[in-house]
Amino acid sequence: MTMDDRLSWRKPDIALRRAPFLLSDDMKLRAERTLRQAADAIRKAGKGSGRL
Amino acid sequence: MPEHTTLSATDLDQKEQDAVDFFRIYEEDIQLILRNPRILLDQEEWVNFEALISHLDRALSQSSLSREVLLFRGMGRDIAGTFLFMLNVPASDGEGDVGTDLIPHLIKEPGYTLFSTDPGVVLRELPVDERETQVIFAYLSRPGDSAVALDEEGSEMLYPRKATWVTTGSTTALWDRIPVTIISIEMTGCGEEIA
Repeated sequence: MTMDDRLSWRKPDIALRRAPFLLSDDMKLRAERTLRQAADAIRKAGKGSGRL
Repeated sequence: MPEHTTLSATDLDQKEQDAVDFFRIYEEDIQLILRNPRILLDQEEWVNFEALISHLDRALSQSSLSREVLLFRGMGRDIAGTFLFMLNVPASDGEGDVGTDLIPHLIKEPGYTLFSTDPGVVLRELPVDERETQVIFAYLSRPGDSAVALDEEGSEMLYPRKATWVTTGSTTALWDRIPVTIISIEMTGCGEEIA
């Protein structure tokens, strides 16, 4: 098992279906906070990653 | 003990700690059986497997996060494009706005969910191909979440099995000049019978 398998979902691993509900305002606010923090973390992780 | 957990594997009782150690070694097999229980269901080893899962579940029920932690998990190349299409999230080639107007979808994971605190670890293992979209999930944990640290640093966190996650928003950020679509998720439920 590679790190890709361990830390990523592949098609056979999961079931996907449309959510039978709308997102609450609380969920949307948390999403905005999560996404801003995640984007910052990804930009920082990319600096000096040496991948390209 | 990682600062963001209230309990480390060494604070668990012997059976729970053995189960966590066993998971570290045989994670691939355990996840495969949880995702496909028929592989083992009719065999005599099933009883032992159920006991192992019981100890792992107990370890998770006794260990919780003390504060918010930003956690990451990737999405494989075999499904990333289709997934973004289903959510109605356009692939972006640069920095994007934060949006919560996607079509929310449920992700049901029959096994345990493993996250990393380091997005670089997840992204380094995803394919580098300009034609393919890199997708990473971000979850901002809640204090009190049941989770077990799989290493001393707490850089890998194990979440309960049979979790259902819901997608809540998206944005795009550049990781070393590579555009990455970030999907935020929340847990909506977890834990049931194995099979």
